[in-house]
Amino acid sequence: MITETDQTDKVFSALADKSRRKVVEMLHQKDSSILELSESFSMSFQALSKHIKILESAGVVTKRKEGKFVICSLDHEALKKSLQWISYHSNFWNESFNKLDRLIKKERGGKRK
Amino acid sequence: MGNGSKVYVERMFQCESEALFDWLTKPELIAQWFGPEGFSIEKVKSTLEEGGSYQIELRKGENIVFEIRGKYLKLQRPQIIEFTYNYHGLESPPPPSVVQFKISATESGDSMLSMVQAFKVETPDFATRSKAWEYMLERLSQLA
Repeated sequence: MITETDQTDKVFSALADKSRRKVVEMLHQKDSSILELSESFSMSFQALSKHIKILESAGVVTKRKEGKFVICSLDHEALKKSLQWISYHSNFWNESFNKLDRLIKKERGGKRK
Repeated sequence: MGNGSKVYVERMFQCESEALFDWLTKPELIAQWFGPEGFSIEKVKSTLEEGGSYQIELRKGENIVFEIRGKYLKLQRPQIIEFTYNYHGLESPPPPSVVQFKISATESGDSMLSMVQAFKVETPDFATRSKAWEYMLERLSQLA
């Protein structure tokens, strides 16, 4: 059974590579065939296919067949869980600092009396 | 702070830098503000020296108890506090990170706090395409 943690680790591991991050950025713009993607990379078609396979196994990229072409698209849902902590931590600190701000203002008010 | 994904927060506080430094480092003061709404602090321990460790135990509701632990990497009173930041006790914890607080005094005598939390994982470089990044976060917030 793949646990949520395993899946998150797989996503981070898949995104640890610069070329794979570039694939994700490109697919974020639009769905593309591997051939289209390969035009933006200096590596071989086979090497790029391997990278896409890793992204696919992490659940970040899905493939579908359209005529002669295999079209890759980004699975935003899979990325969601792994990137959630960015907004989670912004909220974490903002709410903490709101509390700190109130405490400091309260103390300052007390000292002025 | 290295490469990777970063969270930035800047806040102005109406106190002197020395006082703010204390709020950010003294266990009895940290216990009063750390953690978002709905969380309570159970315990804070800290050895305030470079290489020293800290531990903050948080509770949310009846069942969720976890710790944030780390080590102080850099301490320059009253300007800089840098520490590692790791979650323990959660089934699916956020990745490890390093947090840096920078405090600067303003002309009016208040303090500006700049916080950077750098995660040791890289995400796609949407930052270079700010519109795409905004769209992504917007989309994430809708899905979340």
